[in-house]
Amino acid sequence: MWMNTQIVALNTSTQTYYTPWFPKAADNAIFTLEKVLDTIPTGADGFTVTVFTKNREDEGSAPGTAVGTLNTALAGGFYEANCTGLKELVRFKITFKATAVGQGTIYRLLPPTWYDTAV
Amino acid sequence: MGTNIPGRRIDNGETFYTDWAPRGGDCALLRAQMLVKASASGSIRISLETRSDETTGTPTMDTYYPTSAPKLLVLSSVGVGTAIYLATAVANTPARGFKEQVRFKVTTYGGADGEYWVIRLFPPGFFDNSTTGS
Repeated sequence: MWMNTQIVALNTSTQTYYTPWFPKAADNAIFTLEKVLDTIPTGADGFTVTVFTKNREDEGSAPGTAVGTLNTALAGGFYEANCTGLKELVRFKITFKATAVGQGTIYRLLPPTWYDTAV
Repeated sequence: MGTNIPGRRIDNGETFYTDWAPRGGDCALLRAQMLVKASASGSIRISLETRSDETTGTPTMDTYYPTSAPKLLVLSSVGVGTAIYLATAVANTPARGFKEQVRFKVTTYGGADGEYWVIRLFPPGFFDNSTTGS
């Protein structure tokens, strides 16, 4: 689980950052995002978390293959993405675009539900 | 409760409970998957129950999500479903946050004789609130 992370916009351009790669625990996973506080307006960009995957043998810091965006709203600040066909490594892409300096988000990623295809 | 309960066939009218297991946090993500649905209109209802170590009761719980009744995880079709149990600052009846022990309750709803489902339960994703809750 990612502990609370605070992002504060220092400008109004689109910002994109990636977490470190970490090993998958199964072929599929449901990832959950909890936004504790979010003052970045929703819209064209807002605040977005996307899941990427690649194999260990893949060289370079290219993003990898996108397999889902944590934008399925559950309730309150909870969002999830059901990602299938994961390769060996997984990471998150964090994108946000504020409309004013000082806007930001406090979020965390809850423990994933890892599962293999059963049928 | 740290491992999956693999695919299990449930016949219409059946209700079963898992063993009690220690909680891993005040809150949890409950996820389960319906693998087979051999029912025209029935569904599977999955919920968590919680109790303290010194009691023998079976207190039911209310989910934070779904937000409306029935406050539990309803699997109406093949696929994965999610429910969220989120503790609040104070105790509730039914409970919203976990006491020391947790177990699953699985039951059928609205099916007909001879119908069945196959489901599996994923380990709950326990977590704690990062604020005191509302």
